Amino acid sequence: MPDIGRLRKRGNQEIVYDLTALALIGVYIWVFLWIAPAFQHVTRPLDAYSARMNAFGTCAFLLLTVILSIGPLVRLDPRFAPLLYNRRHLGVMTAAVAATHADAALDWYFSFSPYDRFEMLLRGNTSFQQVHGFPFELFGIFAFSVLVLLAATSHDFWLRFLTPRVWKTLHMLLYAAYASVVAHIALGALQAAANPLLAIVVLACATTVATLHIFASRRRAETAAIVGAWLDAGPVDAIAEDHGIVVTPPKGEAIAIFRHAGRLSAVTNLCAHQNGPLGEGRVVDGCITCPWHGYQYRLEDGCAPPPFTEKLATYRLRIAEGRVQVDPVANPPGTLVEPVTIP
Amino acid sequence: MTPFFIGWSARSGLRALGFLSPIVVALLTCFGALAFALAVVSDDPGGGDVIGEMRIEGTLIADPYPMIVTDAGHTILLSGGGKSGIQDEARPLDGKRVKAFGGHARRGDRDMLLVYELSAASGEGRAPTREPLGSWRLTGEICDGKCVLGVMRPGNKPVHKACANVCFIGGVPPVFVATTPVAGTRYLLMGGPDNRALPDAARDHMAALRRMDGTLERIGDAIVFRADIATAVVP
Repeated sequence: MPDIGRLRKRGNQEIVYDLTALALIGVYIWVFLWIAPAFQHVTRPLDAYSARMNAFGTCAFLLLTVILSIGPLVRLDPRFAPLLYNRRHLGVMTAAVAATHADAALDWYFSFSPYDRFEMLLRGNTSFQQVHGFPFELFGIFAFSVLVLLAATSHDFWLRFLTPRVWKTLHMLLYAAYASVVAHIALGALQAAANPLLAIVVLACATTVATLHIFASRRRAETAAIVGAWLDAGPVDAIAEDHGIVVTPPKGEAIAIFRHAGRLSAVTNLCAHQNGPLGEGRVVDGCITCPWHGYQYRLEDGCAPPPFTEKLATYRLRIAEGRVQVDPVANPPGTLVEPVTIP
Repeated sequence: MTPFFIGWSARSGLRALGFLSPIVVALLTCFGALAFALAVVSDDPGGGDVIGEMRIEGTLIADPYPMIVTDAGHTILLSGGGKSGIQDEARPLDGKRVKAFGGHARRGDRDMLLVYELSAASGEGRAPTREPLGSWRLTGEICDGKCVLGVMRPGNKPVHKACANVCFIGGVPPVFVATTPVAGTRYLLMGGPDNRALPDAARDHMAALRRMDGTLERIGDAIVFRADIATAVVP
């Protein structure tokens, strides 16, 4: 009988996650605003506005780096999975940190004039034809808008309302936001920085994110060979008990094949919740369990056990000469397909 | 076998703790260290402060930007509060003797008054000494006059471009900071060729190194650079 703890045991895990994330932000801001000033050079005591702008701006950038590193880290080592579980909370906090940075910049650079500060934000620099002097604020506006949009749509209501595919596509905008933040810093703060440290930190962070994604992408399954109308998924023995493998057809979604109690079952690799990679999950309590948020599905029909209602597309399987073959044509979500017994 | 984490399972949460605890501690330490290092090396553009208050009396010149030339021949640029100029208040008093009170900003021997009060004073205005210094091709940076004359330090480079433009749009007098001294100073008051305010096109050249042509004139003890912005190029 599958555990329905998904309904009732999320509280503690979320509290620990949120407290850890808040501690991360708290330590950064506390050290930046209250500890470091005592050690600044006497000719460079940072004023309150600039300190707030720099502290929250750099903190938001580092948090974004952490957020974008979690996905590939989990793919490379599943022990990082707890960091992914409530990643959306970290995203909402990052949006709040970025809002504080934006507010400080508006208060300092664009206020105290006879005109509205938002009008000045857009009119202050319109030198679009220049690289050195380009209105880098626009990159910040774009990134902040994306962060707010993603924070506002982070709740599962929006996931259901928009459908997981649209929601995930929308949330991929975070990569564009990150690139935009790098451009915001490179064309703004770095142009005036006398010390190279910020440039080194930004470069190291961007390189880390890119490298992790490159390594993680190498672990994706190669396109499976076609045997008549079937796809070759490799030898039966390659699938460990209660584990899955991922098969990528030439067209269409990847397929996850699981082995449990001497039988094989196949479902789409995309979790119905957030399109998480089911094939990297496990069979727990007789159910396929998503590695991202623990959503569970029955092996035989891809349906979440009651009281849940999510359904996955299922696939037909057969075993020929010790090799697993899968029919790449997906059945409608929730279609019963009797698992194949391993001889 | 690699442990499998399920967020809603209390058991797997405890297992994860062993692996992640040192990582979280390392992350906290890393964040703290980065915060310290980045804060210590941050450049400070200044806190928007003035060095005190000042009361002056002299002859008001409204163009290209408001200034007062004292009886001793010292030229003091005028600006309003925040990021605004005082052209509207100065225009009716052009050429007249005035008295003014306000915040005092200074860089080197160049002064600016951030005007709180401006009114006509008794007596006639005196035409200041003017000395044409001819045509020049200068290299330097157009800066917001208030910041460069001490309110910030000095408030230049592209990161401050939008801020400087907000001042420029609001009417704060721009100042040209030449790369090398011209007639004894690097800080030149600016204006357009027709002795009016700089045209809006100057905003594209704000806070960046530029070379441009123009004429110089000494008014009182200040140099005014009447620049032809159309000639501005990256040197």
